[in-house]
Amino acid sequence: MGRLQIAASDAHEGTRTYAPRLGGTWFLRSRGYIRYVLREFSAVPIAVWMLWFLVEIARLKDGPKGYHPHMSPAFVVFSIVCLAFALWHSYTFLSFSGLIMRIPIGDRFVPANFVRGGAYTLLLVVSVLIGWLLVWGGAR
Amino acid sequence: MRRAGPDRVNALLWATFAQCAVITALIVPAHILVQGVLAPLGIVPAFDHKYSTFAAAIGNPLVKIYLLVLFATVFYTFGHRVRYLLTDLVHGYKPLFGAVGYGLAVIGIAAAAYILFTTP
Amino acid sequence: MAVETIQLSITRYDPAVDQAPRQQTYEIPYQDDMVVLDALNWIKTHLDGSVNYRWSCRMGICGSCGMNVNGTPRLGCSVFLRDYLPGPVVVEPLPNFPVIRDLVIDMTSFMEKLASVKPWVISNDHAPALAAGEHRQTPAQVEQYRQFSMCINCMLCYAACPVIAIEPHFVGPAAIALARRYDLDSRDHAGEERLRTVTGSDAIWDCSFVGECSAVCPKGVDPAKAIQQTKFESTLGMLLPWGGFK
Repeated sequence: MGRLQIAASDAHEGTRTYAPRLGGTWFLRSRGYIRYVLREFSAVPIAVWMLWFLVEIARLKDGPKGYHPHMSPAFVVFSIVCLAFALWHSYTFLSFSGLIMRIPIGDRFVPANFVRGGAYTLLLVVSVLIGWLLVWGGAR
Repeated sequence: MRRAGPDRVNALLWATFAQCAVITALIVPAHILVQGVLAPLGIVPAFDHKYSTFAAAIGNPLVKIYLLVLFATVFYTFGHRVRYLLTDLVHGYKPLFGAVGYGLAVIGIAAAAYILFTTP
Repeated sequence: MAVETIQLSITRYDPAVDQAPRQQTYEIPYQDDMVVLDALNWIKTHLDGSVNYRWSCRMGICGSCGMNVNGTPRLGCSVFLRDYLPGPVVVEPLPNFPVIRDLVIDMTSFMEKLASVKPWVISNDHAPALAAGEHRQTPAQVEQYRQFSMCINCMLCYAACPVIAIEPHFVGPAAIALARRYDLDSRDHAGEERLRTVTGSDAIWDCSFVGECSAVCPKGVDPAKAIQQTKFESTLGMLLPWGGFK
């Protein structure tokens, strides 16, 4: 340990350690880093799309004449981009269920793939339910 | 000098994030798909595309509560992730970025609650 | 046409002479079964005896030869040159550690972080006396912690983790994985003490689950899994009335 300390100190000429710096664009250096930043960033487009939805709800106060639902091609493109990020968030976050949750069966645990499969199935079921409710609400 | 745990504040912030992110993961895609893509393209009707159906739905207290959950989970997930993303990309200032992230989340959730419960 | 030679670009840093590390290129005879460590040894023997690097077992168990190969933390003894043809193969010291010389890094911080989680079996007053015989574990009990016990302390995970660079006091992936390894070991009785270390400052809550630690781990330890499981289980322990972690 003593030798390492001497080598690491700045006090002796010829034994300066070089301290590396991470740099501002570290996240571009590997596919893993890029996937991570995209995953974290996905919260932003989802929140922006929800802000649009909130604004639409707020506009109800303007009455029927003031209410114009978004229909433009630009809005559809924006929604498709947000949907891609939302699905990326769903896919990555639900896959963590298999990693984190240890569900005991006797001595062993439910295999991670089963837990993940259950989470994705739940996504499908919930999406169909909500989708159906949204459409039914519009068809009345 | 390391401080011994448990760090209850961060534990609670993370636990809340984990729950909100799971709920977001399950309920958000359907909303964006139906309201943002299929309905504007005329493939299906959506409840927010006519004033009458939209106002009727928002007037329902159960719908208000569900939508508050939707907005709250999305905005909290955003706030928590923004805190860590800023720390990773800008470096340092973690308490400041925490204040920014969670602060924005609180503002968003408060705005959602105000709008939902003051719209008849 | 068979490959006859290959180039390696190796980081050189002599603190007596250099202000900063620089790359030096060497051309060596190529053989299909050479690993980066073989190339370094050939260079040191035949071309330049001043190149410095750590190595020992040359078979992926001692954890000494961690280095960056074409930008990714790898074990020098486990990386085949044939996977990097036609070259040059860029060999640099592990990122996120101070460089002492060439490919040799200062691992003092890692040693301190490792020691802070007390990575050894800690018994208690109720442990059976030696005369009673050895500890016994069922295969299922071993399976609980086996994966996390595969760590060879090679520090590739610390090199891959951006949080180590951004928050240098972060105790790090291997330390938390090893804390969990002992927490899950039925012979150990200091789980709560270690849990206080990993749930305190500069520990699990610094981790944002980048996941690169698990991606580079040569032994399949999956430290990212260990950290996320620790977050989940310690939080449940705190929040649930019967959780047991207060």
